[in-house]
Amino acid sequence: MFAKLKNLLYTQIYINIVAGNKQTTIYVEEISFNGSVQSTEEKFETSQSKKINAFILKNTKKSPIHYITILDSSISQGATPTCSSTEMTQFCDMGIVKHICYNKQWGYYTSKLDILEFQNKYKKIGLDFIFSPFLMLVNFFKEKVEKELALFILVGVDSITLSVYDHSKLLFAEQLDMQNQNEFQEELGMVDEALPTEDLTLDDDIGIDLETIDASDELDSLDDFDTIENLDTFDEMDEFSEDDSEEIGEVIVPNLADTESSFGEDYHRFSLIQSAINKFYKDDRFSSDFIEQVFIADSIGMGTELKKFLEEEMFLNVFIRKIDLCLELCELAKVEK
Amino acid sequence: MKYSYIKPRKKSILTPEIRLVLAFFSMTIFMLLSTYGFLMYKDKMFIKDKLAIENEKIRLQQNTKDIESKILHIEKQMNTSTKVFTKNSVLRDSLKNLFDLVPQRITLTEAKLLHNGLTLYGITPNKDVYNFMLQAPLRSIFHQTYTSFYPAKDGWLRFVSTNYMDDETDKILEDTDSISPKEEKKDE
Repeated sequence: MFAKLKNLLYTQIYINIVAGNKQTTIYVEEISFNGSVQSTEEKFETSQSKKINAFILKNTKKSPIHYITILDSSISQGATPTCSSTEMTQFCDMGIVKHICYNKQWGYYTSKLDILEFQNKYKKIGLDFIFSPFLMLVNFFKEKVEKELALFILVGVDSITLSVYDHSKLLFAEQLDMQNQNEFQEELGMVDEALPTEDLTLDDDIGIDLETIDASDELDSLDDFDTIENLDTFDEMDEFSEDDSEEIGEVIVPNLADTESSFGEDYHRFSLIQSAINKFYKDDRFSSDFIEQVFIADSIGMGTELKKFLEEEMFLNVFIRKIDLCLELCELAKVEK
Repeated sequence: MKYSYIKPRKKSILTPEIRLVLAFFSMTIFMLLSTYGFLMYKDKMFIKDKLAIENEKIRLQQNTKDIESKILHIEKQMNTSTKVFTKNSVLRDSLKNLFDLVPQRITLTEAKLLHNGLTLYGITPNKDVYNFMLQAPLRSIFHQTYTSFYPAKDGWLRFVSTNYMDDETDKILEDTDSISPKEEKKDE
């Protein structure tokens, strides 16, 4: 009764924040009493917190019934294949994390400090919901999660959320950080100022000299990734750059850089995913099973390289589905409110 | 579904503007209700006072009627008393005149005042003295006069004279006698 009155009196406003390291996307959805929906989306630089707050405040003033939702982008989050607090201790320190159980089957957690940090960052506008990307991933691929044994990946700009489900049972989950991309690019020789020309082998005889790449601590899987020299993608990239140079002449340089960057990102993602899968197979804490299928929720519009890497190097069947993080976040908020 | 790390803040529909409007309307309604209550109270009090005044009016009207009836009765009594006083005065004068009429040679031994007459007992030296000196004035006063004689021991005659009158005074007296008991009953 009271809820109906509220809906009749006021427009419901859902403000959804997807904050990245560089860019923050804010999606606002207004649902009026007759069910009509109006939505707007704005992108800000993450450093422009005043502009972000002003935009959100402007929308919150439209109605007292507003919900501000943010996607948890912290690195210290994860998911556990159990809801038992005693068993969870082997995956996380229960004293410093906030843990939520999903359908009494598995759970996800994040650091309490990170939650406080979010609340402190947005204390002027306040937050109503903080959702885990693991929850978003399982909701997005709900029908697949229930019926398949597969690897599910949510690809974001700065992070990758990865989880393995066997018919709704979580086997493995990990939040992977893209923050060390620069280091990775440095290792690949893709950052200009850090690129001695003699180390960069991306010339007409393009090919990455993997001998020059040292395995980092985070990329243990690179040791197992001994077939990388055979990746056809590099050849394709070679051909691609040649074709472009023929068509647009000297203007190719920035495009080449973008392509290289995209390639590097995809390769970085691939290597992170590969290392995570190795961890899944090797770590005794997880009940491992052979993965044949990968479902990728693509929120950034990535290229086809990652799919090729996964298919050709790991012999996985890859399915990619586009995801709008803001819309999914909004749907979660609507159900949760 | 409670899958968020934090709980949503409470959403109040009472924005500052609505609070102001509600405060204004609640104050207005409160003032209207209090005014209505005050008027209702005063109306009730007026009705109560009106009833009391009406009762007092009825009581006073009853008292007035009682007083009026008493005044009427007193007036009647006063009239009656005046009449009685007048009659008594007349009677006293008549008796005085009667006794003045009795000559020195006749001695009255007894006189009885009847309702409408007078009975005289006495001694007369003879019938002539009585007839000439007493009967004549009695006849001028009363309408009917009867006299009987019988001899006394010393040769004189004892007489009994019964006299009646039919005049209006007697009727008035009869009326007064007949009315008085009824009025006394009313007073009771």
